[in-house]
Amino acid sequence: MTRATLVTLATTLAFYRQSPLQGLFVLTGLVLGCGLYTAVAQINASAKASYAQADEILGASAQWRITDRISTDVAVNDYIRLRRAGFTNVYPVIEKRLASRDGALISIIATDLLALPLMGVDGASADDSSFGERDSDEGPFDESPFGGSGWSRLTQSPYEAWIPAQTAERLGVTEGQQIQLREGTVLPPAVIRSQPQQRDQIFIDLGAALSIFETDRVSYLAAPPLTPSEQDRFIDQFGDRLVLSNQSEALDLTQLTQSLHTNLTALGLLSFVVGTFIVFNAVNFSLHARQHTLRVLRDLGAMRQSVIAAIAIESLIWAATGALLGTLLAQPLSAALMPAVAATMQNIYGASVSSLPVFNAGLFWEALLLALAGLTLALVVPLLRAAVVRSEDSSAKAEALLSKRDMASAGVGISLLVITYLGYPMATSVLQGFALLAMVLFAGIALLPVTILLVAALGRAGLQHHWLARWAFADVSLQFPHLRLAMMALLLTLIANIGVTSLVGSFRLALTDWLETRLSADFYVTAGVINADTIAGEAWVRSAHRRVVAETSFAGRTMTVVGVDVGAPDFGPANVIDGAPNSFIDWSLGSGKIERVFANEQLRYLAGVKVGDTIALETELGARLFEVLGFFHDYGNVNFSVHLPSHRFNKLYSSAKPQGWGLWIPDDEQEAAELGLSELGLEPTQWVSQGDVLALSLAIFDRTFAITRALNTLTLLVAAVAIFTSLLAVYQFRRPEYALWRSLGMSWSVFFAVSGFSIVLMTIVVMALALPLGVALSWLLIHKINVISFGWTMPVIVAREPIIFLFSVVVVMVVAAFVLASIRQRTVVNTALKSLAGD
Amino acid sequence: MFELKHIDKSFRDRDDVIHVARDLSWCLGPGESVALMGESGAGKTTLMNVIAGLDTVDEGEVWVDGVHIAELSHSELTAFRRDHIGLIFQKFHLVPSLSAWDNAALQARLAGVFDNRFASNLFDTLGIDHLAHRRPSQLSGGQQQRVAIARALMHRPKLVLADEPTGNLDEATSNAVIDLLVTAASDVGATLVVVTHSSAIANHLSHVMRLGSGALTPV
Repeated sequence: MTRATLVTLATTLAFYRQSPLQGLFVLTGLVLGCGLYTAVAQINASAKASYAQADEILGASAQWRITDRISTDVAVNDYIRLRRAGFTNVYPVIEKRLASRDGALISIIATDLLALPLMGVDGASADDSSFGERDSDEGPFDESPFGGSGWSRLTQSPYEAWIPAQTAERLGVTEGQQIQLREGTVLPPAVIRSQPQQRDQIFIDLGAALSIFETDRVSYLAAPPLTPSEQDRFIDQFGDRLVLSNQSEALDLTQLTQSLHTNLTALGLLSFVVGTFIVFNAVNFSLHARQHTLRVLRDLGAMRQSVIAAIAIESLIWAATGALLGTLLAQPLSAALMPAVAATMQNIYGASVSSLPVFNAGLFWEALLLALAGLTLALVVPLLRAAVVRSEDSSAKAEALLSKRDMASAGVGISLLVITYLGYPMATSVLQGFALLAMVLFAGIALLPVTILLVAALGRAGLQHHWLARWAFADVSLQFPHLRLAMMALLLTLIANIGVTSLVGSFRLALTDWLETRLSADFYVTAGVINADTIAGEAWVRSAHRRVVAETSFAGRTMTVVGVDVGAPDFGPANVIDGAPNSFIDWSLGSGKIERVFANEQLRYLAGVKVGDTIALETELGARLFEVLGFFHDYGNVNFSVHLPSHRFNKLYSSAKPQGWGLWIPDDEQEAAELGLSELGLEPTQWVSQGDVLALSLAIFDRTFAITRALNTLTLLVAAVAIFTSLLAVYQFRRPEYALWRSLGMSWSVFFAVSGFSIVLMTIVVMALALPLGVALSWLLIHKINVISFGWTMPVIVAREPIIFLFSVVVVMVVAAFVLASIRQRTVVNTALKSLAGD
Repeated sequence: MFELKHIDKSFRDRDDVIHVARDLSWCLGPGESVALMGESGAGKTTLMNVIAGLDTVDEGEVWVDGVHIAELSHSELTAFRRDHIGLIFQKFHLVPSLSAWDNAALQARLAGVFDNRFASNLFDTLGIDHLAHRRPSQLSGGQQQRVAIARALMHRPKLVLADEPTGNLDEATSNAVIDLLVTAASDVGATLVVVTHSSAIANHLSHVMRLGSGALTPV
């Protein structure tokens, strides 16, 4: 670094000593943008790390589950055979839902702790030969989900029953007490403690469970991910007796988390972009204020390279400081946001994950580098532009350049919209879909200048005869260059806010509709374990309908053919999309020649099938043609699916294994029904309470919405800071002019009416522009990204209330920023009056 | 028109104290015009600010049109300036978003005394009637200063204070502008004070005063 560069750097940095507020503004933008982005990245990383952990714990979330092909449970001997055959990662699980002597419902889960594939421990070492090595309170178990002391007492007679505090409180159990079950057996002495994934379950050792329930069978065997060759070997050796099923296909809630994390990342990036708008603003201002200094430096012989080097170094200093402080800010921010995400995970996985984000050094460096790159670019571009263009030239050309830039910007905006429109049908990948979204956002900010200036010009023309209104409208064009970036930041924030809010609202409504109709039964029971007469005779059953499923394939994807009872409450004419008026009746009657089905939307969007098309599917009677009479929403399904009336299904797939029963239960009979199902010999894993699924799914969405709203609010706050700092910049830039207004005798009320009108008008234009673009964004998210990703869509619901609320918040925010920025105006302008003449 | 009674005014410039006025008294009647000269830093602009009510005195009284302006509240002083004083600055200080016409009419409109016919005549007199719809950025320096003069006179003030109104103009334009200013001020019967360094400009006015060491002396 040369002496000239150092001198230049010291001279340019001296500005911040004189105007520390400007330095603060630069830092504010950097720290807010970087902090929010890093916070979200950290939340995502922590959450994903927890998912990985949850995937390795217990059968409930294990990737693979092994069940008996005939029986409802698995013999311990089969477990031993599997391990001897080399499947050492397999572990047994007993799950039971029983009544206590007092009639309270309790859930018991038992596993062989010694057989669990542990975190950080190679599964192969968990074989029988290593048992002896683990019989200690120390060692690898400390790294497991069941880490900590005391595990050996759990696995040795007289055993222990580990009961979570809230469960103990519900059951009225204290430490050392033994819970007696209705049939008389007694659980081991209670120990009030819970493990990370325990939820409301009582945890006991497998040996204890086998002894208590006097059985040699377990509910199922669980296994972590198996390689294709392991799967093949399993089928070869055990396929005749045991069934291997992939749990991730059973209830694909992971997709929900993916959408959540994509959403969070997008909002994090948005915050980063909005933060850089503040930086651009602050840098522009500091440059303007230093134009004279830069000119003097050049006149005194400072080489252009020295000036550029000094500016680059200043940029790096700011970027590094901002990124560092931003990363520090991210720690409390992510800690504040994490509980909402942790609660979502609780609902998704039942995983009790710490609400504190885990600090990840790798993530820190990654975020720091990203922030440095982005922020350096944000700082260097305007600084270099200022260094290369001589100040007198730039001031002389400013007006003309601005006009040209606005026109070019409008051209870019219109072009982007046209490209989006033309590219819409051609976008077939998620990346292309996101490119469409980005184009809508950029079109918005590109069109904003011309829209605002056009509205101002129209207003001026329309109120030609009112000089004050004419002036106020004319003043918009003077204030806009200073507020341009802040308004763009606000526009971006609002478009994203409206888009995401509409998406989440539509999602929630669609999910609620779907769940309430498709899963309208109170319980869904696995087939083959109860018969129709038995279930229909139970006092707690109001109505029961059976579903039968056969699997085939279509267009390279799994096709599930579902036999549906005509008249079952969970599928009716209201569920059909785009069907002819009598399509449901036609479907109910069936046909001998061509079968009639309703298909899920995935078939429409992923395979291009239309209403009236016929598709060929394999049946037990050979290939048959199926006419698609209409579609139905099939939220979250990754496969194709068609619904056949059960009377037709039974003919085409006579040997298909009945999948289950939908049971409708009278009000207040929920607990009786669960106990009744247990008494019928069903395992807790063989039924699903649809009320729980509904509540779980809605809770997931509410939690998702909570985190989205929190991030939306934070981004809005960043936009508010951008407006506030921009207004301060406007006041500083225009101080001599404002002093002139006062010198001419303008009252404060007229002063603030004229100076405040611009920000009000610009905010109104931004809101007006954000509304259609936000809806367009939501539409693209639902009809393009969602369709490309998952093959299903839903109606776009643009609710009035959240948008009115959002706009109200924006108005309050802008007024607050204006009032705050104006507080010192009286004093400052009065002081400026004295120097007006000499200026 | 205005009277300064035994005023003291000083300000600090680092370690030095600059005395603009030391027990200074000065009275100027209606319709008079005077050039105020003096060395740089003598305090000419500060004295103008004091007369305009843009700055205050340390001691003494400032009376304008029979009003002791120190007794006015801030808003009253603003309204007084709006109604009775016209200001012209070296750098014109036109509002860039307004046309020449709107700029010139601004103070008269604020005062509620805008007269379209008078404004047209003034534009004619100043030779800028063909520039009425242009923005300041579309005007030359001389044209901008004529618009500023029009603004200072449009509300028919009793006192016009011009601080180096030709400081940014070439000699020929300066002479033309100052002639127009003196004529137009005379037409409306305003008292005119012009701060200038130029003797040539000063010669256009009926009196010349020199400010130095806190005192005013006739030239």
